[in-house]
Amino acid sequence: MPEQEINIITKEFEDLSEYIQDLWHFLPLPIFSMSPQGIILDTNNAFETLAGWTLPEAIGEPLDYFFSAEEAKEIISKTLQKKSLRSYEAKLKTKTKEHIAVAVYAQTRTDKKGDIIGFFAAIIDIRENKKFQEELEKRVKEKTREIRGKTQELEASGKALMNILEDVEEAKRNAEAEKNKTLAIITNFADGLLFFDKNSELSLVNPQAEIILNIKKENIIKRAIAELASSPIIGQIISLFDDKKQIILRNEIEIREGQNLEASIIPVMIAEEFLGTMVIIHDVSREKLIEKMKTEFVSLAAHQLRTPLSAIKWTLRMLLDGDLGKITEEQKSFLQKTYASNERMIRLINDLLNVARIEEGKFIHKLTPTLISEIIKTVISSFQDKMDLKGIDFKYVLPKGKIPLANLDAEKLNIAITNLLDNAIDYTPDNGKITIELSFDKRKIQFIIKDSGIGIPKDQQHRIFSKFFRGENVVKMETDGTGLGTFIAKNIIEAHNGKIWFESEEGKGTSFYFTLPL
Amino acid sequence: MTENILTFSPKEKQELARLQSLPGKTIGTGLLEDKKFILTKEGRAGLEKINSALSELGCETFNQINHSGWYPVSCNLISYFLARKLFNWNDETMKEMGKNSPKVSLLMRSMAKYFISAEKLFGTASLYWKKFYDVGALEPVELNMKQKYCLLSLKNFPGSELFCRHLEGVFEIVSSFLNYKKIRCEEIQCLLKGQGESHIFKITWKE
Repeated sequence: MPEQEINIITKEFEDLSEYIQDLWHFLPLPIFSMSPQGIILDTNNAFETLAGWTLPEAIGEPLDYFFSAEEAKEIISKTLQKKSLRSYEAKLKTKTKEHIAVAVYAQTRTDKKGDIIGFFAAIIDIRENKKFQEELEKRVKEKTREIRGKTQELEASGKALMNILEDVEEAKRNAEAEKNKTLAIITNFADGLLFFDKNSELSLVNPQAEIILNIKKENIIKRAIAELASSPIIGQIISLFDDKKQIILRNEIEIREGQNLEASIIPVMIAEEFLGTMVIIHDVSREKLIEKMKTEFVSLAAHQLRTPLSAIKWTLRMLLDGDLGKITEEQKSFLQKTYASNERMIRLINDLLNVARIEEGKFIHKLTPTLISEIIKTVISSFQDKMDLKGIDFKYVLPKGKIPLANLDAEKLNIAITNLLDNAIDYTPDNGKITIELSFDKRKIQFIIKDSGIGIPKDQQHRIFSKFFRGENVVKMETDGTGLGTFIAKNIIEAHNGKIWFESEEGKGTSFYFTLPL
Repeated sequence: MTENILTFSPKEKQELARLQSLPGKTIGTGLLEDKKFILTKEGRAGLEKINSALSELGCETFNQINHSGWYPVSCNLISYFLARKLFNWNDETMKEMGKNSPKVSLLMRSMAKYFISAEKLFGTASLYWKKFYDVGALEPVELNMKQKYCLLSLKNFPGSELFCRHLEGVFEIVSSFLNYKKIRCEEIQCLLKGQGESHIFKITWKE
């Protein structure tokens, strides 16, 4: 070949070589070539920029110098298998010992015979993609976890809801059973029962109420109080209602001749909420009849007994006074004992008569303006001798100012005060102290009788106003009392719309109080 | 402008004269590989220094070299001589330059297809030599895969001791393209030392 042609070819070869070199190093994509054994034969500037290895540092090094042994092996084997490799994800080891996420692309180089003479490879920095992908996966995981959590929450809520529903069902069944039970109780209740709801409508009438009141449920149910108030029988019950709907009332009413009912008016509340008014009707006609018969019997018996006892009294008095001739001292002694016994008998009969009258409701006759201090004075004077005999230190304390007149049945109040003072004297030891104190204000007069007597045992104090009650300590020391004094006194005071109560300490004394309205 | 700093001992002068008398040519691309190493190692000032010396000794400077041009092999060997003289390079640095040469060689890349096996690679030793030099001959003497060594013989070219070190580096790095580990190349027989009619290089490795 002429030298001129050789020079031209050589020049073109050099130009081409420079062009390839310039292009190779210009490419922004990190690329490298490898021998068939995976030895790096060439790299470009972009490779150096990414991996940090200079050309002389990288060339001659095996592929596993830049990737893990496993990755290097896979890159070569996969490339050989398909003659090319697309987007194989690997970690590039940099000079600064970082591990960069890259995608490797590779292709085999073959000679004219088709034999593999090496590889070209390119790597793409996928850190940003990877980071984005990881972030995305992280977010997806988070969201998945969140959704799973929410799902679990929902499942738990669902379960809880089912449990609640089951509980509600059970509670409903229980409530139904309870309601049926309550209805059975109400239906079979021995007393009549009416219930007015909070809107003042009659919402419940049990069969016993129908029988007692002789009414048909369907005629009165769901009707308002205002409508029923005009009814002759239920109207009487409604008239007992407390407007404030706050207190339990119990009253007796006679709905027909010989038919007495005890009606209990009970406001039904839950906490502060008013639910309605319940009326329990108890037919007390039979008890009333028996009571009346008993009272009439006692009254009759007492009257029949008192007349002969009075005759005996006056006969004995005449004998004792010598009106029927002189008697010996021994006879006189026997007659005096008989007289005293007769007196006790008369007193008992009188008390029984008073009780009978009280129970008949005929005790208080006539209330007239009266000065109570005068009644007290009369009672005190009748007991003066008895008190003197026991050496009682007695005081009567009157208030300052003019004592107002009160509407009183003087005779009955005399009995009440007499009973209280008589008890005080009887149960106060010799030389004890008794004080009566009177006071008043604009609305009431207050009476106090205080003794230093034996007192009332604590466990028996609740029975003090009961008929025939006598304290255990009293029974031991005194046998004269009838056990009716405080019962009568209470009934007299209450018949005057007054109040009576007491305070007592065993061994120290007792104080009785009563007030009477002005 | 460069200053004339070169003064040579009689022995150096004698060696320079021997080198200048050596026949044969080498391709420019090999020289340019050396130029890159000098630039990396000694910088532009070092390159200027050696260019100046080359010029003074009647050789073409590195800046005048083209990839595909052929230049006296004597100048190539003189440049090694000057590198030791000017930069105090020792045998190891010379070997290092030899190792660098195939890495940056365009010709070497074109020979990648031979880097498949030891047999193939060493079988192409003559071809390799001829791509770079028109004098002497490189031939495989023995390839012992079992004991993992290979013997290469350089005949008909005395070269220089520095050139031998350079070749040791070249052979080491070219062998490394086979992915062998712990490769070593050592000249076990040197023509210049009167040890025989050729240079013998022994390459050993461990897989």
